Amino acid sequence: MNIIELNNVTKTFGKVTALDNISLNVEKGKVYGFIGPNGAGKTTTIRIMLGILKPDKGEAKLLNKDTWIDAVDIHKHIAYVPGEVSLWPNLTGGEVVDFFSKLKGNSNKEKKEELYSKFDLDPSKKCRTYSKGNRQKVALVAALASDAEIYIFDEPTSGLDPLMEKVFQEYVYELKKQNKTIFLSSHILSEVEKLCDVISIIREGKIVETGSLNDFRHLTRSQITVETKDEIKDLHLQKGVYDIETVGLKTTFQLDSYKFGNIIKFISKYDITKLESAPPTLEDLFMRHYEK
Amino acid sequence: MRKQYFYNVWKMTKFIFKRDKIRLLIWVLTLVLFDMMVLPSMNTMYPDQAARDSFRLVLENPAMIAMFGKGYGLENYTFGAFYAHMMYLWLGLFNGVMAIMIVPKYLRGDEEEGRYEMIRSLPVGRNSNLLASMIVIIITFTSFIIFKFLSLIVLGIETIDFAGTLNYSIGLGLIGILFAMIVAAISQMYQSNRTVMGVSFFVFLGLYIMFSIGILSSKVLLWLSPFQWLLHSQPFVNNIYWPLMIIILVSIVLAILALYLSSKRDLDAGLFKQKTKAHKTKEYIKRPFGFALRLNKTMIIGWLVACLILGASYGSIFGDLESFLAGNEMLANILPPDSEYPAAVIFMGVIVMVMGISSTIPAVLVMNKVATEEKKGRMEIIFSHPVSKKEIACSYFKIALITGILAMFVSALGLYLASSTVMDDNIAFSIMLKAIMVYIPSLILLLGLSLLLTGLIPTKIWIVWLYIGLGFFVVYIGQILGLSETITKLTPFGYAPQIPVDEMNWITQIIITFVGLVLGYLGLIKYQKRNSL
Repeated sequence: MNIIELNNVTKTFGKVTALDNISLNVEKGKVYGFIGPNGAGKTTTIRIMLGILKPDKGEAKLLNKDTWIDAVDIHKHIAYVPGEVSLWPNLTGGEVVDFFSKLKGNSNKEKKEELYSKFDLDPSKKCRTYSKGNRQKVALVAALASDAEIYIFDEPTSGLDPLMEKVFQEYVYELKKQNKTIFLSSHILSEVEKLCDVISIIREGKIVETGSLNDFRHLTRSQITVETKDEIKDLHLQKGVYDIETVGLKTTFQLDSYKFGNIIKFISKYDITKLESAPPTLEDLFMRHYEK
Repeated sequence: MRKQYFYNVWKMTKFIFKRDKIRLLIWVLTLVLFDMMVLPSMNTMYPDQAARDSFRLVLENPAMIAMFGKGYGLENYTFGAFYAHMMYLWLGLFNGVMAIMIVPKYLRGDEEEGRYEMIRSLPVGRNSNLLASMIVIIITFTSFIIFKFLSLIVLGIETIDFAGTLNYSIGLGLIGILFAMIVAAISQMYQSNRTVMGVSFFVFLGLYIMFSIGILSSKVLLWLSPFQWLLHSQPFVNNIYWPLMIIILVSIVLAILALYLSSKRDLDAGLFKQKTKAHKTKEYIKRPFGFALRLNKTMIIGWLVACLILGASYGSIFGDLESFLAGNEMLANILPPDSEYPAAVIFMGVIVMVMGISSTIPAVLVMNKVATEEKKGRMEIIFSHPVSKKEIACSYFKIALITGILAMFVSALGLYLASSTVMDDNIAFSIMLKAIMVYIPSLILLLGLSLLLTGLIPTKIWIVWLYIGLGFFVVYIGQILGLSETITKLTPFGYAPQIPVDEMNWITQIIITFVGLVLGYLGLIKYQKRNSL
């Protein structure tokens, strides 16, 4: 069953087309990674999912309800952390968290206390004294303390230090175990790689790739370093080989993952003494999509 | 409209009160106390029929009618009728200003800052915040009505009776609510908090000008202005309620319009889009002086226009000065009884003092920016470039000084333009210019003080305002209250001569200028040496 469903959604602001015919589905219990550079349309997509922007064309559904019309009903079952958290300077962090859970109607005091200490946040301080990271923690505590079906995170760790990033990731694992659905927008690729079951790449308002990380492996290249007894000849004539650099008998090159077998057969003729292969990362894929 | 649009509206209402109760309380108390203080003093100043009648004659001049309205119950000019004539419209204007100062923050402020986005991701209807803000405003002005009513009844002045006070308090409260609803509708149309405030004040001024022109020449225009609906309730005279019903009806229509627009629109969107201009930075902005000028441009222009209008509005009363002074004991006290100069020239000296002090305000606003920009953390990025603190401070000082002098110039210009059209034997522009330029040394002293504070205690930069406020109080109000000379000498304004009545005291003024420069220099040194905030 699809918990999040966007069908052919288009959104324009004046002359700018922010989203161009976007479709995506997230099944229950999945962690969905949404990556793309700044200004690609990540936040606009999320705002449509939250029902605070109305799509010009297409339909957006969460929990099988229209995001614009049934916003309030949907919001009883979601938790959201924006990328840029702005708070009321004259309220304390704790007051903000409590107010949010009061609006939501469910309040779990122990869970909040646990989150405060895990995230190392002092809720008794006024929001005006918080740094960017601390403001983000307030939003994270409010979201993680609430009992929701869908968790939507918009670049949730952009202001956190690596230690806190880890705490956040642990909570995501825990939510995943509880079969919650998670939508994570990010441009920190390692995070997406670690957490997500399904990944979409968005670029200039269009989704250019969707799949699991394994699916993507076929599109990625490995970095191969090889040393042979004999000099390798005609490597550049082989398909799927790029950026060859040769220093004496040591050769490095990029290799399309799906050509792996062919090329290994080819170079084994030259008597391999050493072979290293760096695994493909999302970053390669990402860079390939954004190189102009 | 769907019920879901208003989900959690009461929790939102409580939340607004929680955040803003102190500010709301201060506003309400200030507006209530103001009346409570003015009323008894007016009662002692115009105790009998004769005094009130003489003042009524002054109010019959067209300029005064445009400002205050025609007044009601003139044939039986009781103190109540007189008080309503003087104060009702102006307090109505104050309440309008209060609404415009308060409401945009709830509606666009939070949205622009991105706080509203998180609230909207929770189960909160898309109209809940708007309706909650309306409820807050209605509760605030209702408590205003109650406080105002009780406070005036307690004073127990004869013609300030029960029925009149009730009408008066309700009228003032309702005009505040009306303007809150106008702002609510406008804030659905424009994207930024600043634009909403700007457009609201524009509408506010437009409606007041419509009233002023209408009362002199056009019934239709007059009745289109809500200020006429307010005045026509005629408190303390006839206590009519149907004009106030119009205010309520129009408020309801505006509220529904605002709610309708809000239910249709996207977050961060408005009916009118912000224009996107081609990006091009003008050459002058690329140095600290030009950059500071660019930051302050809009504020400076706004203040220059305000100074021109202030000068012109003072100038417009010169035509009926004799009768005006005869009727106003308060101002008559200031003028020396017999003098070789005509009353108009003496009066100009007093007015120029007010204009001189107000001209320092935009200048000090600019100068204080050195500290306020730093406090907001925007100076850091500038200092990270090869720019010295000295260059920044000096740029601001130069801009501030020029702003102050320009403000004095346009004040005098406004005064001259208006007065020369209403006077038979008008005062020369050069005399006015000399009279106001006497305040330049005081201006330099204030700028020096601002710079000194910037160097020593930048977080307490508001002390300058306290000092200016004291100066204004001592020099202007002090003359009416008869404060002693020594107190007026605490501020630089106390040393400024009233040209041409007084002799120019060159030595004193040079000393003041020198003191100002020394303070500024000390401040500059401290500023360069101290850590950034």
